[in-house]
Amino acid sequence: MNPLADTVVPTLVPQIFVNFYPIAIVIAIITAVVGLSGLILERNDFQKILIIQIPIFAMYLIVSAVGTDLAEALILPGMVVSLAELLAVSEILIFRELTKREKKGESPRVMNFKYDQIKMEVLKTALPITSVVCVIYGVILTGFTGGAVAGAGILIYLFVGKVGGFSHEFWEEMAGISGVAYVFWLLGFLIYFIAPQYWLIALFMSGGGIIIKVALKFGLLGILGREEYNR
Amino acid sequence: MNDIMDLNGFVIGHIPFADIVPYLTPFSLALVSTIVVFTVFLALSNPELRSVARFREDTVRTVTVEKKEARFRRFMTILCGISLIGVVTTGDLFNFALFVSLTGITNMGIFAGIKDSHVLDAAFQYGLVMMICTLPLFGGVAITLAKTGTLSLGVLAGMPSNPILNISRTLILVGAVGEGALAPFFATKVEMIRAKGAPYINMMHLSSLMVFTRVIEILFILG
Repeated sequence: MNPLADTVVPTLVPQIFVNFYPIAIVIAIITAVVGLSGLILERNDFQKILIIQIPIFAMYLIVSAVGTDLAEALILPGMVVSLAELLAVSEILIFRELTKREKKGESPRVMNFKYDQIKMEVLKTALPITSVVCVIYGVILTGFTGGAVAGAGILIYLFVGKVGGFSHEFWEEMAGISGVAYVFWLLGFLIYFIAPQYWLIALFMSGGGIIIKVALKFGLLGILGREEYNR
Repeated sequence: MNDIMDLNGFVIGHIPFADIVPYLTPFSLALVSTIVVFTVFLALSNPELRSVARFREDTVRTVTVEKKEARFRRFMTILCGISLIGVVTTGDLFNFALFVSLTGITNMGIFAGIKDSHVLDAAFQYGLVMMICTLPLFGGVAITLAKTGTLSLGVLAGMPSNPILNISRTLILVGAVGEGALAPFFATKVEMIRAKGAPYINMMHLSSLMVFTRVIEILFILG
């Protein structure tokens, strides 16, 4: 038995994953060394952003080497964080290049270049749903703590403003319904864990939610394809 | 091995999200009140009006901040305050890593709209360091999870120290240092602070301070 992996939740993880853990860590370290040495040698800023994905990939390796359900739940936030950092750094790179060219006063074509801001469905749907969940959980908790949680939910909703609120267009868009169905799916799973005796309701909620969500996702793909053709 | 009670005093209150338990002690209450007061102060204040005197000229020029740019920077400052409250109150190791990353991103957002290529260059270098340092930060958290099977700080406080946990402590320290622009990486921060629009920029100092304080507490809890 290796010293690194003697207590990796031994009853839940198969022995083969426990044996693979040190190998995975060594591979991750080699990956990180390769990526960082490439970063030292590279001089172009744009190439640096691309190469920096290699150490981040090593981070995914280390997290996923744990091999439990919790590790699977942790890798998604890790990906989201690295994606957000990538977006922020590339926005700064674009803005820096524009500023430099503006100062030189050259290349009017680049000066007029406008790039669309990134539109993501999750920005519209996730924040109001988060605030609703916070308010409901706060009502269940009651007392001072519940008030704090519900207040945080209301605060989130106020911060979102008209950008992601429940407006008329929100309900018209199929993406919105898809998001709601997704929440039903998640709530169904939550009921499984919180109140297992209501398993029938949870089954119907999660089953119906996933059907609507997947169906609307395919519809959304169709809408996107049509927009591409019209352009 | 250090208990939370020994480090911070009694627990005033906690929010029981199933596994994630944000808790409040007199120590973290002081930090939270500092952050709230500072954030409210910055949110209510107007951007500075910087005057620039030229050598061998008899003129003084003022540099103003555009209204749209100031609004965006104020929004990022408020967001940075909220994520800092998350950093100092969270009771979950992975959430700590996420909130520290969020603090870094919002720090960069404060500087994103400034039309000064030196400042943007420094912000870009800071972003590169930040992206590299997600590797030790999340890697340390994952190694802690693999060794102990839990991420809750309340449970981790009762566990004895061992060499693997010391490795993950070192990794978490390196990651938090990179994300908060602490000691070896503060050169980029010094360059970034040359930007105009003074009051919002001070948020970066506060975030460095709070991330440093909290990471020391977490190192004590783990070790």
